[in-house]
Amino acid sequence: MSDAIVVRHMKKKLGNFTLGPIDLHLPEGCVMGLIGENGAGKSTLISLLTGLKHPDSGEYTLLGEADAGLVHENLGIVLDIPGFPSSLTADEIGKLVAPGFANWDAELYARYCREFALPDKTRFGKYSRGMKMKLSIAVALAHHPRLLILDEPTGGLDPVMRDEILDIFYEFMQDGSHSILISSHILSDLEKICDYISFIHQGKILLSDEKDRMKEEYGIFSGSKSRLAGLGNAVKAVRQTASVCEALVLRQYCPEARPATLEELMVFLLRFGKENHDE
Amino acid sequence: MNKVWALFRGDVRSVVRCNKILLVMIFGYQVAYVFGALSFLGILTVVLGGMLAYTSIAMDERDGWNRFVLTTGYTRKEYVLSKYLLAVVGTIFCALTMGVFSLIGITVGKMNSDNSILPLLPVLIGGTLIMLSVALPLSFWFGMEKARLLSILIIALACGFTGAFAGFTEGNDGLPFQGWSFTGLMMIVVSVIILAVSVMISLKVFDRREF
Repeated sequence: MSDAIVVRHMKKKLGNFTLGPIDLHLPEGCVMGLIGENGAGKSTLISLLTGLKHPDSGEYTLLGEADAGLVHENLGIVLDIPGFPSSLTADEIGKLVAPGFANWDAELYARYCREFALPDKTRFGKYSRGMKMKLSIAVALAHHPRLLILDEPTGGLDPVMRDEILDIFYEFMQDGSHSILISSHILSDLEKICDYISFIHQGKILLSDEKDRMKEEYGIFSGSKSRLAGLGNAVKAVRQTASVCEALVLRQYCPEARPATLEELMVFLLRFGKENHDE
Repeated sequence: MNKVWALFRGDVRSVVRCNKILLVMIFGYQVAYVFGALSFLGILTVVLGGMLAYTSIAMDERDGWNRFVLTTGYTRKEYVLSKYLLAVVGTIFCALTMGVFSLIGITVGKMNSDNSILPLLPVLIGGTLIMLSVALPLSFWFGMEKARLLSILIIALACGFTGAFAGFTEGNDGLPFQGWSFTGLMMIVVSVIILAVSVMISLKVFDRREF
């Protein structure tokens, strides 16, 4: 299986913040979720992959090409803030974007607009956040891309709308050669659709692996401090209060640990893992 | 080039929709010029026509389209070229309509052909394009927010340019028609050269810009 995305030692410095070095790969036919707190570097990474920012060092390939511009026909991009001209309607935006893609499918675009119940005559600037995001997704899908790069596509949407959008991504993934890189704060969404998860924290990838393997490998231990001390290097992060002692542990060394959810993994790795590391 | 035209058409649509007052103002100035023989207003309309590209860039930044366009199959080069196309077409369109209004003024109105803006049009087009050649790279480089400060300088230049030509045309000792023809031709040639350099600078600047 070839890789849809390969990132090698990519670095980018932005003021006091440094992203990387990032190493990442997403096999074709898979969905990877990027998880991290605000300011962790998710959007910066996506900006680098989509050509909106230029890396200081390192390299990346999308569908085997070293430049987002070279694969734009096969690339669908949804940014966190959809930015079409606010005075245009959905139909006019379709006509504006169509010449940009050789494979533009006007019928498919119109179908998405109908399915998403996007009003014909309303200007983009008058759309709600959910409608803007839906239009952005319609544009990203209407040229039959093979790879979708999505930055917070479900952020700020209500659960019904989020579910609708996730269904679209499911449908997109029915073709085995399609892939998605998606960043989101909504872990339940990622839990539903992702095959791979990458945790990003302060510009670095803390953990990147198959979701199922991660959930098998890591567990949450609740118990005494003395037992915890006995687990040694199997403990990856600890949360201690006066009454509770919980830890993220490797389950092979701690059979009594229960499987960790993505949310627990995120909280332990990004919050308490850091504290442990600092110590 | 097809893609540049597509972006240009989108720009025209957006600019017309969002700047109706400005467009009415340009039209009003042109009418006022014909009836009042005010060269200053006539010249200003051509400058304003060129500055529609500047307005378009500002609208794109407000909407985030200058960033988003790069994710929709268009290249940075095509985006930059579409703005220059808008600047050139806006300038020439306003100059031509100004010419038509002048002819109307001369033939059916009371306008004195000596006060007509017609011989000045090539000079006006050239001058406006030179002004935009300076302004556009700045807006691509710094973004409109920062370029806005620099635009104060540009507006001052525009006003100076406008005032100077108004003085020439309304004064008693303006250049003879042949003089304006030569000056106009030279201005067009110089402006095309400066515009070409400006396009190259803008392409380099926008290519390095990060979003």
